[in-house]
Amino acid sequence: MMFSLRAMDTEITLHAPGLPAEHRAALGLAVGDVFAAAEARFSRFLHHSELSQLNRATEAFAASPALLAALLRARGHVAMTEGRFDPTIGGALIAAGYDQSFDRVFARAGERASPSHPRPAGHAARRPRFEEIDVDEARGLVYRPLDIQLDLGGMIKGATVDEASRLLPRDAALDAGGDAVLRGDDPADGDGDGSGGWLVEVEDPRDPDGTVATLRLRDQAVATSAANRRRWRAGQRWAHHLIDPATGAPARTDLLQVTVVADRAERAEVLAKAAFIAGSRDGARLLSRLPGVGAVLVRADGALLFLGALDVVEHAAAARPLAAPSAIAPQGGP
Amino acid sequence: MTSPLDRKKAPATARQDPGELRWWITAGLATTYLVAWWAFAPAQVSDAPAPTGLATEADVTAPPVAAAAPRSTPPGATNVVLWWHELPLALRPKLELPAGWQVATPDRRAAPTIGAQRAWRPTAAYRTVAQERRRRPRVRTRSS
Repeated sequence: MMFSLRAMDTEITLHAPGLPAEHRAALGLAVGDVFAAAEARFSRFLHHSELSQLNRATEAFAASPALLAALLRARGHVAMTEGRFDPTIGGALIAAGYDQSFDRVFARAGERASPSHPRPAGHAARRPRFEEIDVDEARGLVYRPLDIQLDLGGMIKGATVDEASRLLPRDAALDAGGDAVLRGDDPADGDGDGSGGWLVEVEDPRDPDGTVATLRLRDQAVATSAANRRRWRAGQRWAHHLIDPATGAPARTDLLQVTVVADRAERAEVLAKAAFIAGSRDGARLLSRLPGVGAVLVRADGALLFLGALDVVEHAAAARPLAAPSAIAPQGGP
Repeated sequence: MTSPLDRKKAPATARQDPGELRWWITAGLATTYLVAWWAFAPAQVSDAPAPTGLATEADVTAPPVAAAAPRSTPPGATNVVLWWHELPLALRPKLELPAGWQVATPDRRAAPTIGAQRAWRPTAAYRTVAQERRRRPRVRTRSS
């Protein structure tokens, strides 16, 4: 019924119940090729990837059309999120200890709890901005300040799900560790309630076995950001991978998790990360301005907030429908 | 005069052989037992109530509750098996049941004895079947 593989340090699962088994296997291999190509080009953990070469370049870098297109899309995302999404956080990730694939970061966390490249005492880190990256689209060149490291991780994962989903048949779903595209209806639910679509569970960030809500999605994408998985010990504190570009440090927020439903997985991924970093109040304001976007926010005080166009099938008891962003209580409020 | 050797070879006709004596005593006791059994046992059997297959089976399989009942049964009564719910509250023995067990309900009287059945619990298989009747989410979104 499903086909799964592992790429980008994530489990990729393909659901195409109506497809013959042999076609499903072929489709799975083609999807795997898409992910492998994206990882080879955009991983900052692979020495020979194009992104790693760009991060090492000391002069103008001749980028491939795929990398140029990604950087131009990233520029749009930075504007859309008012800078809360910013690929120039690569250096901050390294400083926080996320300088290699997460399996290795997690494995060494017990033996080395300090950042791999600690800054000199008293040296405040510069906070780079994506505007400093000069993308010359006409000549295919990228100019990068030498102290800026780019990280396109989550965005590229979403983009790869979008790209691979073009290979899917009419009724199918592709899930890359929670970033998913749901196309058409779930064929195996023909005897269900007749309302079609795919049911998507939203994990409870406090309990990996729990579910805070079940959503119905059709021809939509979903992505979730939280700090409950990719986190590690850094000194006396926990660090995580969601870096706030404004501080250059792991985001401190009143949110435990943000799930965004949008038309594309890349957009959902970027918005989920930006809203998480922004916090419940500013994050809800950000998301509510965007048409066709829905969100489920899990706040640290246990409140469950729904925003925008969502088809919520069921939800946990602590849910609170969100009519307007102003309905959100300030952090620590009731 | 006979020598000691000659006395050893002579047959023991004057004295009784000890083995033979034990045989005669055993045979006598056995005869006495048989005569006594023949004389007294039939009278006891004839005084007993006619045995039934159910009573015999109940005697063998009755649980502690049923075994306790004849003590309060008046002499001559033939009801040797009592149902738990038919006993007055004051006469019901106190049972220490394991966790998850309960006394069988009266509508389970088809069983020949009072027993205890395990309290019903939904099993993992039951839950699985129940869930498959509704739409099953295939995708789970989470941070990764």
